[in-house]
Amino acid sequence: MLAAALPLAAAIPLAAAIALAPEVAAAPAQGSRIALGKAIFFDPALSEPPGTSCASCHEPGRAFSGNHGSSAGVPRGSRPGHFARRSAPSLLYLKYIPRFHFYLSDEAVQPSAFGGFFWDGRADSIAELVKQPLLNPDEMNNRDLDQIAHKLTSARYAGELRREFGDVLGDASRAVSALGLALEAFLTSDEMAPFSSRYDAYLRGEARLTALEARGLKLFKDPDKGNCVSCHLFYDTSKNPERSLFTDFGYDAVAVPRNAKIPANADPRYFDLGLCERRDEATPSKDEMWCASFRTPSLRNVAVRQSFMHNGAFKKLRDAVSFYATRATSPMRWYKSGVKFDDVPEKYRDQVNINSIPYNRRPGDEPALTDEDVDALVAFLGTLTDAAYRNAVR
Amino acid sequence: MRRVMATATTRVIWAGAMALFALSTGRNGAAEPSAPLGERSRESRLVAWVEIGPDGQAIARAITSRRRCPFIELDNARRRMSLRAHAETVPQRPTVSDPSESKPSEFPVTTCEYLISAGTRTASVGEGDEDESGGEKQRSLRLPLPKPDPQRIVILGDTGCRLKIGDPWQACSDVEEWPLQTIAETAARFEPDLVVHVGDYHYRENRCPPDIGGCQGSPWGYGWDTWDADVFTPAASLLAAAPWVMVRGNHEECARAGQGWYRFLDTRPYQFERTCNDPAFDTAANYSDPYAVPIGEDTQIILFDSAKVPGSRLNPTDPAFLTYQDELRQVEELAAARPEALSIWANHHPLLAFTPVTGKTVTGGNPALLSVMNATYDAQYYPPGIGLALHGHTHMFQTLNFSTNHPSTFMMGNGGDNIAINPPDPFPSDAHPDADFASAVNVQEIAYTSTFGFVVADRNGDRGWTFRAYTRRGGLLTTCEFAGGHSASSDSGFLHESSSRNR
Repeated sequence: MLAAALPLAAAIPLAAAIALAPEVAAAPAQGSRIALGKAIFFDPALSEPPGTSCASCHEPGRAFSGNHGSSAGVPRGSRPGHFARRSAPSLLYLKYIPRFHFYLSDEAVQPSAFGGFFWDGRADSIAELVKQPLLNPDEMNNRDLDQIAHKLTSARYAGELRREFGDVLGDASRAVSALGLALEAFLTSDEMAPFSSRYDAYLRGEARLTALEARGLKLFKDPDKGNCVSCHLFYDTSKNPERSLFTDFGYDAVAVPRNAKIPANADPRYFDLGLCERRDEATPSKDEMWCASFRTPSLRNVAVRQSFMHNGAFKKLRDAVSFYATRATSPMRWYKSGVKFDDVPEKYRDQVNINSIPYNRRPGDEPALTDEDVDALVAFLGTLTDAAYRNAVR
Repeated sequence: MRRVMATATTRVIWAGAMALFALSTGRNGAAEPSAPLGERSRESRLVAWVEIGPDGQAIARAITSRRRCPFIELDNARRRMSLRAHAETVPQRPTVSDPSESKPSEFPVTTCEYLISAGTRTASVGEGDEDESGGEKQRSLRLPLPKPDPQRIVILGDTGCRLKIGDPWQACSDVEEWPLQTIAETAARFEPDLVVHVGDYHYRENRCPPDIGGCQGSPWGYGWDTWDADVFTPAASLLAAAPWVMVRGNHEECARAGQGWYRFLDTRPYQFERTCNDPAFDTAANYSDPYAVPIGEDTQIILFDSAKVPGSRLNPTDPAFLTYQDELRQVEELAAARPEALSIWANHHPLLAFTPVTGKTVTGGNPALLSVMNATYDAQYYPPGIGLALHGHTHMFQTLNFSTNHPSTFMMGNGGDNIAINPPDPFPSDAHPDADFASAVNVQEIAYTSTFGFVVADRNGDRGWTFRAYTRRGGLLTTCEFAGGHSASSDSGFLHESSSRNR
């Protein structure tokens, strides 16, 4: 009965599985709305002060992830000295993220959380999602909806906005909702789910993996080695690339090392608590048991990211993979503060996942993955880069 | 990775070939290897095995695609087996799945049985098979017979291939990802005298999505084809190796694979009220009285049906509480009836054992049964006389020894279905199998791993057994000596597959 592991899932199934999430995917949008959304996405006038667009932190050249010129691991905001508190995930394949929900496998001892946008699942629609960076003082810094609506009124695409949604610009709430719908059309368009990686070609039988990549794939799936698939779910037996999103959309407390470059982390009392900070009364996740858990991201295009994990603690993909492999066996290699799990409040450290392979070993034990294994995994992850971004691989 | 991309058709052919190869064929009943069957075997399927019922009664079971039961030949005396269940399609009933994801259960096979007398020296099941010239030749399957004093027992559990909406789709056609066949073949090479399956045989509940290759062509639902694919084909080598003792798991409750459980595996007479065909009788059919299987003169296994146990503590007025309490009393009587013997408790759900949970330290055994056991036997939990406990359910291997006077425990849930996560290593010192009565049970030693595998128990002196946990391919993971009421493992904490070569 109980099967494999998932975030806070009992021994069971790993994650639930994830059927694709059709309820989130918007109906196919008209080209005009997609084009409008794209224009909004690239509009630097929408920040305060102007100069920062959605694309600043979600760079098209980096598979719609990025740091906006920051070296802190998290993106710089529209104002000097302001930084987002979490890394900017790729916006590709966003349409597959299901609504936030709990799932209780028939043999689990407790339900597991899945889905929702952002690292903590706090938005269930893209239209809702887009308001948050626009209004976040550390990101695009708009004062309120009125300020955003005013900018839309004078935008070069204001006419298209009216044609698509009617006379909405006189009402700030409706105007920003229209902005959200337009962005949703763009972010859920086919352009944002290209499925053009070498892995996709491999699924279709049109490409081969190198020996090293194939070894990495095997390690990725091996429950006694990488065991990555227990959270980064995929089906290489399916030619449908939508079955290979490399996430189960579940949550896990990985205890990434604290990123001292995040300004908020200068306060030792500050901690990013993740899922338990989410506020929603319909499907609440505010119980302390969810603190320190963050949603498992897709690994598609992971090789072009500039930083890794929710707090951008790692700048190199190989470090991120090595962290998984040796967090248990060489913890002080990662926790430079000398405190194991230093980015998790002490009272929540017993909620960190120390059960799943390869986490479940003692300091000094042989890691589940060798250095060569890590190289192979990194090589395999490189196959997940879509064609348009291959030159951006770091 | 080796892939066996067998279609349903090729699997059936292969299974028939394997069964006959392992057993025999010939006009005179003499045992001889047969050549693999051809296409014809699809229309003429015959499966046979032996299981052990109450009081050690050996029961020959056969499943045939024909309407009439096959013959059974016992010490050269031939008779026709008795009908247990005729072929039928059972109308769709409520299941754990949405009605749109359920279907009627098709059993286009006849299930037959025959009680085998103690002392029988040879047994085989056979039926005529039309040959190419239109004549009839006999084919027969040699049956493994119970040994009066079994020396070696293979134990495994949780073996099927998971196809269930909401859970990851297991690649049933890939022996690396669903390794039951490998496990069964490896275990069979140990030449056991007995096999104990601790429950959860059947997992193919929902249709494999059309765009996932690893399970394409798999049968789904609860009919014969799913049982064949999850049990009789992949475990053919182990079914041929020794008689089985069958524990019922939660996957065999009535709203799941209960129909097949009663039709094929349950050792008691086949009665409509216990077929799980009519949900009106589920309340009765989801529970079974315990029974004992003697293992020689000094050991017995007492089987306890926990198929329908809930996941939270039971109120003493709950009918399930009263049912389980009555069954505990029966176990007590069975143990008391053979005070000189080691009584081994076997049920599916873990009791004084642990369930790992990501983000939690660990949780203990099944709260419902523990609440009944605690209310009935206080801090002892088990009925008097129980010296050892066997479980499955959590998809991993665990062995526990206690400093308190509780039965040493083995969990063998790593027999093929998607594996579980592990408890932390080192194991948390403050963990208790029943947190509500933490002081009552002290774990002295625990070792565990989620790698796929099975256990071999070898008799080791008077009421002593040596348990060895193996990986799917026979790599030794750990050795546990059980004697005098306690076990001692050669290892503790997490058992690495990679280190098993050195043990």
